[in-house]
Amino acid sequence: MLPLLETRSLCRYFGGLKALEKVDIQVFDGEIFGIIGPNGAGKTTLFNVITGFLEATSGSVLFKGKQITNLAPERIARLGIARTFQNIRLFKHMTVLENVRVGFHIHTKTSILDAFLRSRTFWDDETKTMQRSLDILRRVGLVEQMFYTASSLPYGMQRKLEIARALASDPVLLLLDEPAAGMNPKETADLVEFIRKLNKEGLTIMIIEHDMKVIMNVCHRIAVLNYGVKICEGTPTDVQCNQEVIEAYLGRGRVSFGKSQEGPLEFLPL
Amino acid sequence: MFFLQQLINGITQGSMYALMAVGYSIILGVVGLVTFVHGEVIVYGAFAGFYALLISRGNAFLALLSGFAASWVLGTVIDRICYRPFREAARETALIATIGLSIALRSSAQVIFGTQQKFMPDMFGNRFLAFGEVRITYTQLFVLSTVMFLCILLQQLVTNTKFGVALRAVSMDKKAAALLGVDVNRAVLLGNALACGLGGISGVLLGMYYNAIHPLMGAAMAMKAFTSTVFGGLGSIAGAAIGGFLLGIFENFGVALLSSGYRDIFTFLILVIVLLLRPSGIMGRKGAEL
Amino acid sequence: MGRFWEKFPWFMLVLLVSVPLWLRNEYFLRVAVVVVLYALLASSLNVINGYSGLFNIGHAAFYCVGAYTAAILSKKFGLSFWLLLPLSGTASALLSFLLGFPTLRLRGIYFAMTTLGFSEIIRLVVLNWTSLTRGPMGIPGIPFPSFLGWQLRSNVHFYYVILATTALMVFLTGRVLNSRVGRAWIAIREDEMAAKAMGIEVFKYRLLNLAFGAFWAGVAGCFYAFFASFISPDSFTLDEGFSILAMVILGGQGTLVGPILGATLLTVLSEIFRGIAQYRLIIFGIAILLTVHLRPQGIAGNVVFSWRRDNLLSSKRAPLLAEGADYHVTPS
Repeated sequence: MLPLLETRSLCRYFGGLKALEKVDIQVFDGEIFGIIGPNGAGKTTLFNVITGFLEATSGSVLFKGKQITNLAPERIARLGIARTFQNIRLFKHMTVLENVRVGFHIHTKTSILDAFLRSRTFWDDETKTMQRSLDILRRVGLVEQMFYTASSLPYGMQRKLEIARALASDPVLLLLDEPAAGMNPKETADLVEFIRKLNKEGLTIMIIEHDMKVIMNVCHRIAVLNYGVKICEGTPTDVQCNQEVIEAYLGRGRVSFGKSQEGPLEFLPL
Repeated sequence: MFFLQQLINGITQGSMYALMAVGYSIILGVVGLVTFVHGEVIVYGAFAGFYALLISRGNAFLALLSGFAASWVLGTVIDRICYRPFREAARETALIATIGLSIALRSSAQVIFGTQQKFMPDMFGNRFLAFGEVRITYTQLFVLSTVMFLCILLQQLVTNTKFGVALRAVSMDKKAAALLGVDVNRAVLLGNALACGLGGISGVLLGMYYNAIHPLMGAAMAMKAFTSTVFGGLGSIAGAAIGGFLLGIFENFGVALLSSGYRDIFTFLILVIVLLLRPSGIMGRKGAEL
Repeated sequence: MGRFWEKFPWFMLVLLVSVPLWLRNEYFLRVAVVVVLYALLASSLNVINGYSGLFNIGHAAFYCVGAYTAAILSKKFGLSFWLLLPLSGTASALLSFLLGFPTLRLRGIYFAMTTLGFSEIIRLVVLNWTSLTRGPMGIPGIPFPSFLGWQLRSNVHFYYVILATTALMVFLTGRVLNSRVGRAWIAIREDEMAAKAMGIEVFKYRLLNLAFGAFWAGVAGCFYAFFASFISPDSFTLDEGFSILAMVILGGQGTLVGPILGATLLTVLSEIFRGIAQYRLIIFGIAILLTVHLRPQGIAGNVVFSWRRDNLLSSKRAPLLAEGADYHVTPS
């Protein structure tokens, strides 16, 4: 079966620093694919190269079988890949609603002339955008805060808003960069539910996370990066048992891999 | 040997641009901002040198010193008004502040110094060395040697003194430098003042070389400094210097082949071409931009 | 506070339309024309500086090109004023592509510095291309425009023309801002990376933004040419661009009202202190410094350009800000 997204021998160097070294990853349609690794392992770099924000030093990225290596981020977004950012990049001074509306940009086509003349296209686009934005806000649970300035939201809601905005572009593949960062346990559980729901509706998701509860519970498969190299790929169970992973990555204080080799049983989904 | 002559002219001219660009890129590194006010710093230094020449009846060194001192002082003022207050703020704010200040300074220059250009007499009475058909005037030698001397001095300062290390630390990471005990505010203040002082000297040299200074020449000089820095590659002070020399050479050849009215247009063209083809400049890493 | 600023434009419009009725003095009427002209210029600059994350210091270039296009085409081919308004605007817009193409793909600061050089270059070209522009001697004798057989020559006539033009510009700008295009512009201003991730072609939209702002500056130039009947490179120096910039910053970037306010204030002040004209720009420069230190968002600015951005997160009044924000949310 053809993977939805595939990287082949992907390398990204910053001068002498090998941020990504021959990374091969395959993400299949309909799955939730996790990427974990210690800080500085190259996870966000991987996302940045996939989404076109960084040039690949060598290797290739394929989406639906076609080369998308080094395409401009705008084009990659149009192809159906959406993302969130590690340090939230909302449009701070726009309202919640406006943020989501921007997400619809690629699905509307009002030109400046249409804007001047308030043409049929303009009204169609505006109605469509409005309806779908409200829809997404309802799904995410941010309708009440619709007119709030984005930067006035509490942190957890800001993350939700970023996801909502990414959803607005109606992507086929969603890349989440540490979506649970800064969330309390309840918010994290909600997030896990939400991700599952999105996935059931057909969205393929790649997720970078440090919170093991999220990763282990939600991902179908996981890849582990360490110093830019993929050291393991497989189901959550496989990853937990892998010796190299255990050595490289001692978790973030929430879940420890423990000294014993009894790994797998401790981490069954809650 | 037309070529050689133009080369010499170009290198001399370029040396002044190099000095301007070096000051400019020091500010870029140490303060972390693109400044719009460097042109005015050059102008004020030039006029300070002019008056010093007038008063001292032709003492070139005093002129240089005055230019340096005046611009140094101006640099400290700039730091207090435009850089210090906005250290934590959005970048645009400091930028706008430098624009506001440069507007005020530019017009003040016109008020203080009048709207006409001032003539600076040739320091060395038009004497020159001749090698066949090629001439190097004493003024050219003076300019070149001054710039060389300053570059070497600067190099020593940056690599071998505590102050130089502080400057480099601050230009790399202000917070880390602060944590390591560097007085960042002071370092920025002094670094900026030093860079402005260099700008002032370049202003005086400009006056000596062209025999004229004009209160409104700041904008053109700022463009030269900026273009040189971009040309040579950002993040590299040596690059800025090289960019300055190259700019001088190219400009000179262009002007010699076309006409002097096009001098500034030439600079602009070079800027546009560099931005189109290789924005990271000659010595910049590929992809490294501001 | 926000309520006040929402209604303010209408109040201003009514006031402005009624001006010739109660302002009978020819000198004051002339000042009024100049005020509205600068309101147009400042607004056109504001589109660029306030809505797309760009910073243009050399706006005089577009103003200049518009004026010279109008003057030359009018004198050489006798084209009518009304035709020349959009033509001059188009000329400036085309020129803006020249400026934007090499610079808008890069970080904003390249653009900003380049506009400085660009402004001077345009002026130098105009100054030196004597066969086309008569260089420093300028172009005199630009005829008065005519409208349905009527010749427009009095200040009142010109006043209504410029008022209508400016009102049109503000109207259209408002419409653009409240649309997909405007949202894209603001998104680019807020966070370029995120905008790209949303599929917004940043480069194209910046070009469009620049062209739109340049267009109206060109229109303003055309008006100026016909109003003053004589233009020369001296009217389009860097200082001119700086003045317009000061108006935008003082009045408040990123709002529709701000630049108009700034233009009014600074133009009127310039007229009052005509005697000390050489200090004008010094005062403008200081005004910018004061604005940046005391109220960075300008007089009418919303908190967009406030430098303590984190205030919004920590402020207890945060939710209220959304209501008062000068933002164009289409009511559902």
